[in-house]
Amino acid sequence: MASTPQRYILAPVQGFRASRDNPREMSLFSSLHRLATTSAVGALSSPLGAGIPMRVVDSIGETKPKLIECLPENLAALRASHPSMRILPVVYYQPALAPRARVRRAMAMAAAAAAPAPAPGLSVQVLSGATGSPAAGVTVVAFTDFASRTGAEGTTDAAGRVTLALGGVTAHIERLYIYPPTDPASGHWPALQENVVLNSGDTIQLLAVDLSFQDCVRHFYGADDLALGAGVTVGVVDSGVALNHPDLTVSGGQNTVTGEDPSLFGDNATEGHGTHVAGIIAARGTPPTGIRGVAPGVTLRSYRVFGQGQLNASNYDIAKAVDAAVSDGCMLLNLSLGSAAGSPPDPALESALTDAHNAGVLVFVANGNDGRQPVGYPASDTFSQAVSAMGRAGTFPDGTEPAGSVAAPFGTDPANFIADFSNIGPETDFTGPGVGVISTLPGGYGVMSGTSMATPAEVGAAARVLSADPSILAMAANADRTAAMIAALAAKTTDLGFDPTFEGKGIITP
Amino acid sequence: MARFILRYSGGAAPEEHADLVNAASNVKVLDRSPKMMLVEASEDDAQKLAGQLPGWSLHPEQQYNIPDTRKRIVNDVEPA
Repeated sequence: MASTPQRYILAPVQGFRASRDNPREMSLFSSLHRLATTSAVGALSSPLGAGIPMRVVDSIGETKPKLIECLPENLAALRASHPSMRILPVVYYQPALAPRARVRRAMAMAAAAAAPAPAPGLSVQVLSGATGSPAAGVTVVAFTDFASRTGAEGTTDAAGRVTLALGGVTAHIERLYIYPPTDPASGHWPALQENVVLNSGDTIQLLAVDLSFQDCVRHFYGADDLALGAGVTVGVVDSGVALNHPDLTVSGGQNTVTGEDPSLFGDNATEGHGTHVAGIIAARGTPPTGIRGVAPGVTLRSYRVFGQGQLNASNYDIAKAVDAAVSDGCMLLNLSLGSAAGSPPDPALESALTDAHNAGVLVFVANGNDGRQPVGYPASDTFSQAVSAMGRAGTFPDGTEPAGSVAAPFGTDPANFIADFSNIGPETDFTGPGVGVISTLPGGYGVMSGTSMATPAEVGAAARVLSADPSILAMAANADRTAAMIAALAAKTTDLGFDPTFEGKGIITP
Repeated sequence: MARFILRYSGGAAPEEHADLVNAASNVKVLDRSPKMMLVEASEDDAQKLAGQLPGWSLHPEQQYNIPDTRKRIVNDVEPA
């Protein structure tokens, strides 16, 4: 798909002027300044060899920011070849006009009408695939019209039963999603049935997770050697990591949630998100009784930023976690979190990410799951390694929920696709397997999908690349190390045949 | 009253700056790290305080979520 050149601001790594203490930065900004006097499309010299077509539209001064024009699909290559440079979007401001009032819904008329009689219910029972016993806490979502998201949903009781307000005891369901709970009793694949007739009294049996199954992470990154990733310390900034899971070894960390005990960096008793993320990177189990992560040899640390029982995190707690992880010697950080698609930069986090960059730490961030929407923040930060989610046909069982995420575009290998939920945009640096991923949960195992899962897969792959490069491991923790890490990863990245706005430079292939 | 982040650009923040924040009458310090402070204050008071602290920047506290992929019902089925 052809795109048109867009304008961006190239700024020094810190502040407004290139530093005279950094000869490479000075030389780059001086050459760009000279290019600003010509209108020709030039090619920015790249240590990786390939020139990147771009035009320098304006320069504030020899050592100051430049306004450039280049194709959005070239941004990933530009970031990879010049990691010590900030690439900022050009932001246009509009007059602060008061928004016009709009009718949202005919609430007044609806309120005036008589309350409708309760809809008749359609009761179904969900059974465990492992034991055949009733499965409690399962969320059943039945769409009669998926495009308009019309339907009914509910959660099963102790008898595994749920009653859905579908207007009758029989209903044609376009898509029926069944999400098992993420508690120790889960261990099931989320299910998807399409175009089914559901009758009251029907039973649905979930499929138990087989830890030997080759999911998309194992397809791309199956790891037999427990030493893979050794020498690299990885920080998971998330909801905490279960400290007593037999497949996980957490070497330390910190709970940075304001008002909570800093020593409680274990799982925060919500959905086990951080434990799942950590397992994708570093689980050390062996199938069929355990699971193996992408880089089981890394030193794993947990930085909890979601409060106990909470599903949102403050930018203060996240920035504090990033600072702590940098100070604790992490080389790679995983942030599977973010704001709504296309949110503006957050200066507090921006500052922490810049400090991490300057301290030799590479931060991977999930693009977000808003369905082909712009990349969220902090993934869109110039110093983040933004990760989209891809999937692969044949890496999830028939009748399971990942089938609903298959969507164009497809890669050079048509079995590969970019997940329908993945956010995309020119800020994307990598894509990773994130559709139907088996990993650790507090007290067991489960399946999750998301850019949240694709990000740790790429963090694990990055750890394997860096672990095999003693020169990088020996470097001082500063911006030069970050630049060396980015260059090493770029050299080990494979283009899967998607547009760069979908995959950045591609998938890391250690 | 709202919550604001004070962040120091550089290494560890000077101790005398922390003392200044702690002494401010209309500002409550909720948390502190080597580079940051989380404070509760009116926007005016927070900005006034930040203006007295060289090397510090002031930012509003914001919330972030775990990205979710679960499909959800937006419209209920109309009663028959």
